[in-house]
Amino acid sequence: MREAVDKEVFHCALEGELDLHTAPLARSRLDAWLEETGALRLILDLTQVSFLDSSGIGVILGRYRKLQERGGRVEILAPGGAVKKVLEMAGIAGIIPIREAQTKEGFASVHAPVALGEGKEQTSGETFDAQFTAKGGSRAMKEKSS
Amino acid sequence: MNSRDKDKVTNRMVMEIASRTENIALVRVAVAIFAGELDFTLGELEEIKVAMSEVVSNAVRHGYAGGEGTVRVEAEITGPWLVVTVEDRGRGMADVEAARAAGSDDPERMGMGFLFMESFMDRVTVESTPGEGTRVRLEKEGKLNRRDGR
Repeated sequence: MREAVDKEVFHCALEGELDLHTAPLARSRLDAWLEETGALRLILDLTQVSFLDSSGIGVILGRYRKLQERGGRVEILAPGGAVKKVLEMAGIAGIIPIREAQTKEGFASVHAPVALGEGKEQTSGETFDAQFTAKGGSRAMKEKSS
Repeated sequence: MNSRDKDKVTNRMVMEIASRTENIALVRVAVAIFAGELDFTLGELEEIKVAMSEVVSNAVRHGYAGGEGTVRVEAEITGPWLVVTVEDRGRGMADVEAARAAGSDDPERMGMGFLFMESFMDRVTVESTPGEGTRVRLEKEGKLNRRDGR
């Protein structure tokens, strides 16, 4: 039947620290990939994000709004600790489903890791760009049927 | 006056950074290490890092609006208190209370940053003068380390 049509899922894992310094990179990469893939469902994997503040919240909310405009949605895979606390305090849980890190086994391999680097090691924009890696390409993947 | 004002300053650190986003991480890490002298939990140290990131981000993004400038960070251990003062000589704010309260649902504005500072620190005071700059004082109570001995 027609209802078995796969949805386009874009699973992106951010790695490192997400702050005012790294937010522009995360924002531009996510937007470029979302544009390229036309994905309607973004799984934003923050399990390897070691630091998050309001600048990072801005990145998340901005992508949420963009996807919402095209009828899509966002889910977050979150680690515990301060990152989760920041997500909760910003009221993200009220609009974006947040799943615990341990449930990530249900997903296929990550397609677009974004290494944000440790901010303190970034000494220039050039170094930062050089440290950026995007393993695994940027294609949207088909959602695994469960 | 607060009781901690009577306590002696037992340790002190001053940093001056250029108003650049890459220096934000430097400040939050340095202050967290400095704060390690008091018995904060790992979770509390993470909270201090978020608060430092917010206050320095505000100075860089709003105080200097991305332009050149210097952000001064002074941290002190006073009794069981960590006291951090972050100062810029940027644009300043005419209405501090409005900036603190408004737009706490919008990370592009200062409200959410102040929400995190207030939630993660015990006390946050802001002085600001338009055209002169902003000074934010953030305080958090820890525990004295091995003060009483055994």
